[in-house]
Amino acid sequence: MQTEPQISRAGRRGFLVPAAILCSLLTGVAIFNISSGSPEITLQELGGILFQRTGTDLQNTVVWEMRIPRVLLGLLVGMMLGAAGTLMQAAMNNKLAGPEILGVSSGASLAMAAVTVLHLPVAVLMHPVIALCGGLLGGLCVVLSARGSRGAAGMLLIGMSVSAILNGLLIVLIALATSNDVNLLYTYLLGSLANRSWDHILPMLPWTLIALPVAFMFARTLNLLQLGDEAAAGLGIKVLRVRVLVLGVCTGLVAITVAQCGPIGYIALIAPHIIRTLLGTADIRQILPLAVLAGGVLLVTADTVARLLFYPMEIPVGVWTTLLGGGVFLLLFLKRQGGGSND
Amino acid sequence: MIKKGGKAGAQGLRIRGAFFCLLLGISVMFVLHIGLGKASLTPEQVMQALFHRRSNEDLRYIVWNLRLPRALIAIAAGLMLGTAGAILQVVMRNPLVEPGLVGASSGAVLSAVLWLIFAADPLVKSVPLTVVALFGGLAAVLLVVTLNAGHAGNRTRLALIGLIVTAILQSATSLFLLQGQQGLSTIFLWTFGSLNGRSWSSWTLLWPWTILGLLLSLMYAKKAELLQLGDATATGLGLNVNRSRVMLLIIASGLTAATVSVVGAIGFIGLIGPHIASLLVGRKPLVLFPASALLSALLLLASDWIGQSITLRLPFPGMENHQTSLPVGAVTTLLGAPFFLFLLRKSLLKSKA
Repeated sequence: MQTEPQISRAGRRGFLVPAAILCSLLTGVAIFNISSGSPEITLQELGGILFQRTGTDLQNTVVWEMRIPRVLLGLLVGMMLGAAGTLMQAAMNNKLAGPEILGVSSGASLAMAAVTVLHLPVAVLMHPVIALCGGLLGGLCVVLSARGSRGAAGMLLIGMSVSAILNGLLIVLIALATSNDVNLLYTYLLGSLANRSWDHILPMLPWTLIALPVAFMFARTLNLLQLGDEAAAGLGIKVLRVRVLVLGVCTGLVAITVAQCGPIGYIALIAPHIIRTLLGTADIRQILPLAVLAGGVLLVTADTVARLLFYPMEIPVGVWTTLLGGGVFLLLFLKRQGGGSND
Repeated sequence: MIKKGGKAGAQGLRIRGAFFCLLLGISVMFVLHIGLGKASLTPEQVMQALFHRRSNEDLRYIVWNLRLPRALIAIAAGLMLGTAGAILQVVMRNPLVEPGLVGASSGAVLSAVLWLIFAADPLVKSVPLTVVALFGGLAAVLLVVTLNAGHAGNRTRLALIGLIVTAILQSATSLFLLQGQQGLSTIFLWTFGSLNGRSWSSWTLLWPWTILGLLLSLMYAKKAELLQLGDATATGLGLNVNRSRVMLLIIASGLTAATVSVVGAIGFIGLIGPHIASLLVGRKPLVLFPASALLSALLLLASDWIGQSITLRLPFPGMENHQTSLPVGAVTTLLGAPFFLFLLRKSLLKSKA
């Protein structure tokens, strides 16, 4: 077993090429996103606005106060989701795990909805903490209900049914809310990046700066954990403790995104898969940075679609990611189960 | 049956007893349900308004025009969903399925919504919504079954595929509803199911399908019973297995589609009904289908009653003057999803052993 593969020269190239592709994709999509819409901004104008502050007041405001924050927020959220998905899949040793499946997203959004509907006196800065508690509770419910049962499909189903219960509670809350809360809540619950400003990004930064490096710190341990519980324990890893810690970090990553944008599904699930297929390796140290990047690319792209496809009407980005990501997830599941295993 | 004596007689008595209790339960719940509301009525008042033509005019108006249609629709919807759930469980030989979990409801909802948004005007009026919903639901069920082809024995796999397909169809539904700038109440109605504001016009749409569907399900109960024995045995007994299976799936989708096009996708009702019914009356489809239908009707009526009493009686901060009541789908989900979880754990632990 190659537990500690040295990143060879070929491996490094295999790492750098996808990274370069992702970065250029990201730049392209971001530029397209920032320049499209009304008012339309040409590339030249955009260059001027970005670097020399030329351009009309309107253009400056639109670019700096509306479109750039939105792209940045999408990037940050996507990155955190990508990291969370990678960690979660590695920690559960289940390639189909993800925060939306394990009840974390629905728990966090339930907590946020409760704050909105019941008008709980919570400072805006504390919202992520509330979401974190909700997410932890949701995840805990799933893990507890799933104990004793083995097999990927069982775990996923239990997660989905716990999510269904949480969603039921959510509907109860929505039905109880006064009608001007409701519309807000509903768009929020679909997961949307619309109408976000720098005020939404700044509270995220400390979380990102803490949680992402912590995620990277776990990469080596997770590599060992992927060998299987017994092997990892044999190598001196406290399996249960690591798993709980990693899931905690994931929940933190997801909770802050839910607090700011609502539950955006399937990014966390798909991003690691794309990278794993591209790289053809299971080494978390290589997968994690690229999956983070891929999450960002995916979300910014999805958000571009959400904003522009039915312009000026906007469909929340969460709808798109569920629609497309759900399909991809189904394919992945069918492919993995194709061998006829009976779990 | 009694003539066979002994065990069969006891069984028959038990079945009759179960049916009697269910009917009694439904009647009691029916009266309670009608009595509940902003103006609370006692059971006597309800009975008077229902049967004596000379009772108080206001009461009669409230009962006949506002409360009665809602209660009747709840019963009809429960009957249909319960039958559909029982049929699906028998046909797929899987205790983890129900119309909402194999795509039947969400497929029906999506096709109905698409039809209402995109079909040309004369078409919309000439083709009943239920038919359109039927095709959507059937397509979704067939898709789920096809995706699970070759793993027929794997219960959790089918359930998982069903859930994912449902999630995709639901988000497509929200997409089109949002794009059509529909209000929130419409979205709720379609995706979670609600009895709020149903009136006699909905009842007129619903009841012919209820009767047709229930009769068809009873006609096919014999074939379903043969299917329960396993494909090989059923074929040996002269049954065209595939045709009967597809027919039963069509009946189940039709029942679901008719419900969905009137009250939306009410989840999990078709899951609990068949399970408890099979504990009460056994697994013979001829009695299982009607028992499950009655039980689900009782459950749906009770869920709606619970949903309404919660919003009427519990004082939440800042909501004293609030009018809406819970969509019944939320209550059924809260009742049914834990039940599903329980079944799932049982199934998983058994398969491990």
